[in-house]
Amino acid sequence: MKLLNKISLYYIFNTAVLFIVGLFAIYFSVDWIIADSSDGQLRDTATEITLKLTRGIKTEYPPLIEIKELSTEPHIKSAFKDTTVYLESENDNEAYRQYTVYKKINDRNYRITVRNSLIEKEDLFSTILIILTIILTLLLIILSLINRYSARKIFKPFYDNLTQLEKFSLNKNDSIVLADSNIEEFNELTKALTKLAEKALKEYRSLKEFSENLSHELQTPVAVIKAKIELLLQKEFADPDLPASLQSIMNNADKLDKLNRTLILLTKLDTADLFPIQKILLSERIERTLDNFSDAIQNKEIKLRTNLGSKLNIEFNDNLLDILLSNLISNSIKHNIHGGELFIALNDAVLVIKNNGKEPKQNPENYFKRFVYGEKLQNSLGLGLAIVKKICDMYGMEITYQFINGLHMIELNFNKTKDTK
Amino acid sequence: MKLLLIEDEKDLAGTISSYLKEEDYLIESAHSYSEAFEKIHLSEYDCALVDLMLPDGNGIDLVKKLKEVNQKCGIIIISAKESLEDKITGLNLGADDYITKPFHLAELNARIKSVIRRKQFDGGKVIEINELKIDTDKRELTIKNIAIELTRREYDLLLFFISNKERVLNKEAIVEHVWGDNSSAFDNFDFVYTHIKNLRKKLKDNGAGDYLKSVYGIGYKFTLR
Repeated sequence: MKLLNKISLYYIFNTAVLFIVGLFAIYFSVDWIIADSSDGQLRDTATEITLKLTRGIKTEYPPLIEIKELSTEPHIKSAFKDTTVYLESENDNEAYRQYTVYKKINDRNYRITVRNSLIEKEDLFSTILIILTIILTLLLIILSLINRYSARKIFKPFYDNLTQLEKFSLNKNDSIVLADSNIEEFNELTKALTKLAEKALKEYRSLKEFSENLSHELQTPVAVIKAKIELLLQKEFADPDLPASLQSIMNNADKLDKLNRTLILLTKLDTADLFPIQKILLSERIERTLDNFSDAIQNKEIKLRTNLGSKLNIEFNDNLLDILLSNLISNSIKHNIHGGELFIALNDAVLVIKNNGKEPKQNPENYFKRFVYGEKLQNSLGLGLAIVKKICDMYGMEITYQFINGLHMIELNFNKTKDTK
Repeated sequence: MKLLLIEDEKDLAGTISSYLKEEDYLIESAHSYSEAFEKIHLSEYDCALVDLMLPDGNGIDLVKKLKEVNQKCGIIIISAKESLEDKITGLNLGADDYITKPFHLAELNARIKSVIRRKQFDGGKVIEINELKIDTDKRELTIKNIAIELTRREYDLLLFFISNKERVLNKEAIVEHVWGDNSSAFDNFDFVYTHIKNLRKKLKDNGAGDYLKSVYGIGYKFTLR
């Protein structure tokens, strides 16, 4: 729920409670005032009638004024009473306030009844209710108009900044620029966010620098280890287990080396400037990559089918395209089954790679993260698809992975890199 | 053959020279820019291995100096940085090859031989070992004057073995040299066995000696002994 709506809702709720209380307060006070003034009036009229009777004039005006002579003297006090009287003209019972006085005038006993028509309470109540409801409705309409206006004007810098924040990425390496507004809270938020972003950028840069340096520093010791082992492997060994141990050290040093190189590449991929683009015929490049892997394809007796009719030219970095295609095709061979199928098609700008393989045990979305293995293989670092994803992100390309009917399927859309010249 | 090894990491330099000494090279090591600078001017080398990152200077400048002083000296850049610009700059300045740390010593050895072949013999040179004759220019093998057809991989394998003869080569070094980055598609490196078996058969069937030996637990060796 939007902030403005939330505030409005509280406002409306409280106002409604206040209106209900007000409704009863107004009703009872109006009712009391009317009754009070009406009773005074009735008393005055009764006094007047009594005075006239003393003078011998009998004024009657039923049902408002009724005078009755009584045979005996009733010892009843004068009293007010709410009553109803049947009116022939209306053919209905109407509400009246009546005042009855018993008086002995000139030795005759009289009962004087004075009546005043009452406003019906129901009418009074509903009138007040209608008026208050109209006011409440008007208030709501005005409030919503104000809200819409506020959302557009007052909240504009807020929403603008929100868009900026959504676009903000540590990778892009540019600091965030947020708009000022004339609202104190928003300005404070802007200030805090700018500070936060700067801090995050600074720390991200220093972390990146650290990992870059670390990777480069690691290369020399790994080089020394590898060289020493290679030298040792030339020797004759009395203990037959020793060469195997040395070989195992060598393999792990190799793995460390590959891992390190890949991580260096991953950090480099954050800087797009390092990779100038050029025009490349995609289908030709795919064929060349497949040719490079022909040994691996034959070795696993994989049935390869291609459909590379599309003559799509793309604007891409030469090296990165090699890395991208190599990683994808290498994966489709490595994770294939012996004698499995590999299908590669380029339809317009969409590259589809389908291959047999074991069912994924992982959530496929995780494949694009670092160090997530679908199937742990001896010759695998778990970084291949992370690199692919990073290259795709760099070019704003979409990549999807699916597993359907025993086939792994990767779809890659080159539309954004299309050479338009 | 006289080699100059410019590498500030003494441990690595020592290991490289011990490996290369077997090849009957005369190796001189320089551990800093200034030391290398002096050596370049004092004597002539057939090949120089230049580390780009030196504590007191940039190896790129040494490449320039080497080119000025001695045109015939082969230059191989050794760098910890897998940087394309460095590679292009180095090669444009006249370096003959570029190898990234860490590398297999067998690989370095093969590269040195290839550079020396190109430099000393104007491109191709025919390598003769007993009855084997390899024309590195035409990439052809002849055994007793009969041309033997080899696949691209078999030729690369043979040349790599011959460049490192009498040395044990592990599978990783072999795969990296012959298949390079394309090795990532293999589940494991057992396939190397098939290729070596085929090559060995071709050599034997055509009357050459059985020079390819497997070394238990490590890899293979090309040996005349």
